[in-house]
Amino acid sequence: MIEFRNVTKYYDNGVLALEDVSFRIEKGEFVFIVGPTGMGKSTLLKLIYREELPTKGEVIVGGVNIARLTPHQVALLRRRLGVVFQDFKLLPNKTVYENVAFALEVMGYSNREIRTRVGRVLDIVGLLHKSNCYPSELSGGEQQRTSIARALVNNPAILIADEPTGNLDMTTSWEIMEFFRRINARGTTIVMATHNKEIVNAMRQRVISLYKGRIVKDEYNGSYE
Amino acid sequence: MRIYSVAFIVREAWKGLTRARITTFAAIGIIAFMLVLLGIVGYSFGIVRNVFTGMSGQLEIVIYLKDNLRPEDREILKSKIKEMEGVKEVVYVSKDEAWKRFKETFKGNKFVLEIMGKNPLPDSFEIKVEGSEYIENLAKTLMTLPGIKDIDVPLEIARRVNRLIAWVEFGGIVIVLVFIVVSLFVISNVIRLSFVSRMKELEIMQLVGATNFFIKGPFILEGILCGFFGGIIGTIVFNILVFLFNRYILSGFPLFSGLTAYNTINLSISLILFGMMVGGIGSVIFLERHLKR
Repeated sequence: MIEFRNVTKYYDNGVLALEDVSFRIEKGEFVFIVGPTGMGKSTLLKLIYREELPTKGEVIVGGVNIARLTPHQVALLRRRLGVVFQDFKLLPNKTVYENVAFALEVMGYSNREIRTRVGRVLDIVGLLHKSNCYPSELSGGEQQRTSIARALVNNPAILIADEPTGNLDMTTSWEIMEFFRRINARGTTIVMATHNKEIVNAMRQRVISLYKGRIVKDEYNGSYE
Repeated sequence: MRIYSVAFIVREAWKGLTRARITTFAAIGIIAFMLVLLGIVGYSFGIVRNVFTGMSGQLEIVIYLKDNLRPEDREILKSKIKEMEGVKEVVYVSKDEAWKRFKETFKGNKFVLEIMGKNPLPDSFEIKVEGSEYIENLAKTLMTLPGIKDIDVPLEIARRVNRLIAWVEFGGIVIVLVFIVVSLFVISNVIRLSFVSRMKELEIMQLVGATNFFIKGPFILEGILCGFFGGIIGTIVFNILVFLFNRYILSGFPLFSGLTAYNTINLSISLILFGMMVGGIGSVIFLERHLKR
């Protein structure tokens, strides 16, 4: 599903973000990317959804090398991925419903299709009753659930989450993780970057640890010390 | 493209326009202002050009006919000249008519009239031309015609007027071009200002896998709409200004009336189209700078 082959990434300003990173993630896996801030977690995720390109090495997502995609193919790749962020990235002037529908509108879905799909996914994340609220009227957890709904609405094969619980309190974080577990159980591959030790240790999933741009540990049923 | 896609782009563009009212008004206002200035520059240039071409249209060639020319031949000659390129009007002036005019001119000057004695003037044609640019060639052709004794061509004046018109045109084009570049710059920056607040929208669109058509469509359409509304407002203001100018300022110079009745319809349409074009280009420039791929 996702494969990194000896990936090195330097940013334009010369900062080394990843060095000789290799791993494979199979379909249906749940993988944590852990490590202190600034150790390359976000860069690794950005390479998966092709926000960045590797300086050296290859990144293969869904069987294609992301370095060889045209802008149009990049768009198509991203439709098969759902991405969730620490800061939610919701549009403040759109309601919950509109924020989720937006992802489908840009793909050219019909209005009827959009209504059923958005309704279904908002039901899954438990926000149907807040459809007409604006992000500013929601709690942090509800905002994150909205952004998860947006990420899931197109049934992506892979869900990428960059510190999704970073801005949330512990209870809400567990709520979000419970979602992820259910989504993963339905067959969606999940790659999540975090530095929340309790969550990682409790979930007992595969853990890839980064330190100074290198993989220092890659364990199934792993933990984060 | 599916109908939903087009509907989406139109809807998003309209939302963009109506949501951030202040920046939208600012953008439209500045576009209108630039277009009014551009219109005034274009209009002034048009007036100056009209004055000069009007002047050049007042130049005339006079040909003097041989005394023994029969009236039938004279008519043939006249119709021949009329068909030549650049000839606006041919007026026959008989020698009696010419003498009468001469005496009128020198009414107070007995000395001149006495020297002249009886009418020494020949029959002639006064040829009005469309513009000074025709004079040189016309003169050459006219001289080859039979039955002509002499020809009086304002050649030196024609050349000077031609040169003047060329300079006016050149200067006008340069000024208008400079102005177009300046307004392009200003307007694309204004458009940029009204879009900067929506960088997040661009980012999210890219993130959820919107193709370039979807990302750029609403922004470009919004820019074009801004340009269109700015163009409409600018054109209205511009035409009011022209109306006031003609009514209260130009009417004080009867000398210019007729020469300066300059049609603003073409200029107005050009202004609106230019506004739309610049709005669109402004959006494209913004998107090229800020879309990462």
